[in-house]
Amino acid sequence: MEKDISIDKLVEKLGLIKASQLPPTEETNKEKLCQNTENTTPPESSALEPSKTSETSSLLQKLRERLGISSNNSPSYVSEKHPLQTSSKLTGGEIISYDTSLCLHFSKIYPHPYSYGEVLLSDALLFSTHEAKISSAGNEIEKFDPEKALFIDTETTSCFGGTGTVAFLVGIGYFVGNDFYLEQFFMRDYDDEPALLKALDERIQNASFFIGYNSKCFDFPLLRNRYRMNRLPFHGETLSHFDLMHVARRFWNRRLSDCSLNTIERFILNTQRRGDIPGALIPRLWLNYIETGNSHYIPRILEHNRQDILALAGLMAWIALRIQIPKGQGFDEILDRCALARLQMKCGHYSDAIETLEDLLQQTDYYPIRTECWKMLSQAYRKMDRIEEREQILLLWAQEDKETTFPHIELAKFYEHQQKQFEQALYWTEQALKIEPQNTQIIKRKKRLLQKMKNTQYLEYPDNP
Amino acid sequence: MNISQIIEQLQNNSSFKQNLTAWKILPAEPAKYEEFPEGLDERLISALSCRGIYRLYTHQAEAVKSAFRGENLCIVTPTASGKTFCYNLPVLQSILKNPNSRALYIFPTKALSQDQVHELKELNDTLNLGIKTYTFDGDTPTTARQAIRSAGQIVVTNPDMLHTGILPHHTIWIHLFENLKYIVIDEIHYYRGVLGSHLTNILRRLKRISAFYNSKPQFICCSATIANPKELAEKLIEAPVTLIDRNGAPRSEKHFLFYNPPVIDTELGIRKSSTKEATRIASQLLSKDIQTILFARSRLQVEIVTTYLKDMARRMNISDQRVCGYRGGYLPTERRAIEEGLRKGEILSVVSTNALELGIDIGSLDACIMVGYSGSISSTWQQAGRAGRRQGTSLVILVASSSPLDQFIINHPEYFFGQNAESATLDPNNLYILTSHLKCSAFELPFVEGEVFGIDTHSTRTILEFLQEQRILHKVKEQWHWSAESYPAQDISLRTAAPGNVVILDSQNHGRVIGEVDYFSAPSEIYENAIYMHQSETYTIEHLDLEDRKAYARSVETDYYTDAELKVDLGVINICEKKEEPLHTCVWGEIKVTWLPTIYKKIKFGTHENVGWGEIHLPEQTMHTLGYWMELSESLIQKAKIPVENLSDALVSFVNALRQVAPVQVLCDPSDIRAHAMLKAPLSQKPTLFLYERYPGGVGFSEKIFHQHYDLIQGGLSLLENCPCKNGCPSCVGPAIEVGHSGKQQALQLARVLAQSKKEWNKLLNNSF
Repeated sequence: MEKDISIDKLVEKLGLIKASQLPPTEETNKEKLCQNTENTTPPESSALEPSKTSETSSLLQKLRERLGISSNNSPSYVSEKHPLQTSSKLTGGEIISYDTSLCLHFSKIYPHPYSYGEVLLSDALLFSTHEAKISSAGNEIEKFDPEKALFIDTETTSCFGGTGTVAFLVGIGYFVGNDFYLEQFFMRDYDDEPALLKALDERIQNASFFIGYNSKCFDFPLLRNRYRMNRLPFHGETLSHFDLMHVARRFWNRRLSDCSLNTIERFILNTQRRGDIPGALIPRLWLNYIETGNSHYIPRILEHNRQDILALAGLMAWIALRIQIPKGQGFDEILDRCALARLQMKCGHYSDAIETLEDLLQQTDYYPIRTECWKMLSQAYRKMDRIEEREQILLLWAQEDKETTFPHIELAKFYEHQQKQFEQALYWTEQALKIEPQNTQIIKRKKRLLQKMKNTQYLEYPDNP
Repeated sequence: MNISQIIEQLQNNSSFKQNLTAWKILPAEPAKYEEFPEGLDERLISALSCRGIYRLYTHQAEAVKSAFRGENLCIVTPTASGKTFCYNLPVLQSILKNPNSRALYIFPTKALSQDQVHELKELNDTLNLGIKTYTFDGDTPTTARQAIRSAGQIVVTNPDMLHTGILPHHTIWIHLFENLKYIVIDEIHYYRGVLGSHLTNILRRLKRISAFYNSKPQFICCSATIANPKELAEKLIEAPVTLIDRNGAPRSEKHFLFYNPPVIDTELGIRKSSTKEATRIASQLLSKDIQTILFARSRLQVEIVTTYLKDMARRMNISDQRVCGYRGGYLPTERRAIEEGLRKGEILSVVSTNALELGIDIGSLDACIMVGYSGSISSTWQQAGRAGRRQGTSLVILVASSSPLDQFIINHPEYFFGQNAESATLDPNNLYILTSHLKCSAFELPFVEGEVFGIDTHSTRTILEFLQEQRILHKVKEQWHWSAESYPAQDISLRTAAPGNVVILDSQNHGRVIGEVDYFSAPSEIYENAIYMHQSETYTIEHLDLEDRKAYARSVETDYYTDAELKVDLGVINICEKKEEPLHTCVWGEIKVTWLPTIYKKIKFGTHENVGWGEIHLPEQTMHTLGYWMELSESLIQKAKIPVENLSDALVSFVNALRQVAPVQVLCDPSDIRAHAMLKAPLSQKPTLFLYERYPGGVGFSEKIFHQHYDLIQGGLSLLENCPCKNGCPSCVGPAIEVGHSGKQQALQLARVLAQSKKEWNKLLNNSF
């Protein structure tokens, strides 16, 4: 079985570090090194033979002792192999080269019409600037062209990042006409990396949009690290970056417990992968592969990566289709429609938002959603300066909602400042006070209103004492 | 009244003077100046002139010139000699010349780095240079990090952050590493032992990364006075270093007094409490408006002295706000306020642990009182350096406690003044530290066949192959790549303290945070019912939640404080070296220490009498460290004529005496070494005496003692023979109440037999040749 002892565990086991183990380089103080156990071998033997080998092998011996492994215990795998021999088993791949480095390249075309779960992949081409703006809540993207989009997913040697993490497999997907092209670059060992990076960068140069899942925090910085580590140019910085995980969060963070791609596939796209390798196992499997040459699991890793990329395009298609339908009716779930309205608000698409919200209010009597809808709706009307409609909305809301003071106070403000109808304002203030009798802000408002009313009365009837 | 008048008064005060064992006057030294070095940027010169600086002290000029020549330097100057100019000038110059140029400042603690940035910002503002200086440590908000990485021209950090946060992510620090011109390491004397070994290895990693980005930074190190600053600097950076140690800053006249509290019980040899005597002297200075710093030996002592001094201040109608404690565990804002108060002169007396020994900027004070000897010559000078303005006179008083080391120092002032400061040692090629960092380094950049990390090609390859065998690295085409899923730097902690402190919350005041205690100390400081003191306010601990790292305290009025007693147990893990000696065996190796706080004593303020006790219910704690021990043979016990029933007392007495001598012998802090005696050690079943190191992992004192084994016995013997007490006192084996009435006598017998048998043995050996 796999023997996996790390120095950390050793250090943990031992408590900590032992001081003064090694002699300084100049004075070859042999005794110290040899006398580490119970009684001492006579110092002469080692002092006679001050060769570097005895020194360092005893050093190694020491490390081994600490780990509790005997020196003749050979490693559990044969290291004298090269995956080149086994690479033939990885069917469908071709070798591409850069300088002295070679890597494997796989490509596959998913011709139109190809369905991913319930969606048609090519519907992702409907995802244009408008959809991009909505799903990025108005920021990030100026212009979007799905034909220039590059879907990217990496498989890495660890989930931590940092300079010691390598992307051993990078998959990219893009549309050519209505067909979906998927290419993968795979490292058979660490020295394949330059070839992989070079080939990837060529594809990147032809694209304008970098699309991934959690790619802003993970894939992209990791790739940038890899290019810097290899001193190779990286054109990824020139692409606009569109992270679908952020999009998913904007739509579903209230509905789903997490927004992992897996969860999205299951609950949004209604698909489930069969025989998929859990992502968490992938680093270990590749590391095993480079050590043992056993490529048994590699095709499944490749498949996992392809599925990830298809899911990205599928998700985009799913969203594009639904945003296109007016009044948010493309979305079945009330919560999703509410999320859409929020995004429309953030983008400043107020009339779209009003349509979505008014429709939504007719669909649901779930109180928290209604409150949010009313609130957004009143904001939307205000932004559009549709004052009367806003008043209507607030009145409807106030009539219905006896739990929050918000509509009452908004009405009070409206009548006080815009309409100068103090009595109306006073009425709504008192309504608000019924809900929150202790609220000092409201009490203050009432006082002020009463004062104002007194003043105007005085002005109107100057003769009255 | 000024300080000179106070000194004059003391000179005429015979009752004070009769307790003095030394009155040393260190003469004033005038400033030595030099013109601005050639090549110094005009903008810097004119900016300095605006601040009224028209020339430099000689050491500053020397440092700048040496830096311009491209040398690595180590600057050794006392506190307040303007050492920051020594590195800031070359760094600022390089940035003025090329705004892309970058510098990295490394300080041992977060507090120091904040202080430094504060100072640099001030300099920057007055010079109007627009140089971007940022601290990058655990407290830096994520939002600011991006800007620091790309735009920070001077990045100030600490070894821990460099280790876990910067080096493993060097690709995002590309702007820093590509243009790294200077690395400044301040307070290098702090990096001794394990921490120093870590730092050397971190610098090895840093240099590998710099080389990858084609930069070759120059190092500027600063150190307090130690015996071997150049050697230490060269060991840390592993390159030749130019030493700059001729201080050009002026020095005021300094009076250094050794004060031994008078004996109040001649029979028992009991002296007046050093705490009280020091407080009394400090209160007199306080009443004369003399700004004074008191250095106490422990956090508890800081609080006790603060309490007493505040009390005296009130009695003299001085606001007790002018007296302050300062120690680890105070909140950062609180500390900043105290530092500020000291600089402004609003605070007259500050009582501190060695936290203020390092270069935190509090300005210079008039007087310094040390409550007990700090245990090290260099830190004593460092503390003394806190007193002494550029002009005038300053006063330093060392008040000895009754501890044997204190009594030795106070009675041998010539020893102190004649002795060199301690040397700092570190072992960068400690196998475990080296291997740990080699792992981190492989994570950062693959290793190429033939590369050297630390020792030489061969051993580097051996370790790499070892890591390969463990499947942590993978070799292909002459390169070793990191091939594990983990992030190695995270698992390697540079310091011994467990991560995270225990915070103390005021349960009456909406859970306001009062202070914090490090995780290891929590069970012996903030157990339930303990009295926790903070700025001399007393709180009782209601509940300690070690898991959540919280303790709940309630403010109370008490007239006592608490002190915990620990039950300590020892086990041997691994024997490193062992030698058979006549009648005994001595060994050093790795040991496991477990300790358990069992009871606490309530001790009354003022009289220090014991007024009660309680039990502590907490889980035990474990530490792995290095230890030295002596296994005594049956015949030794017989020869020393120790009856079985007295053996326990005899062993405790003897080990206590040895523990007194050992710190002097290996030049470490007395608190670095602990002692323990066992009637039957678990492994050998023999009576055994242990001396062990207080730090997890150990730093190598045990090995040193092992090799000076007979010096230790000889030292113990002469301590026992020369101590004037009858049945034992705190200066030798401990008070008779603790070690029994025959303890001292029997310890003496043991020591004599051991020393005697060695002599006979040697004679025998000589005769046989």
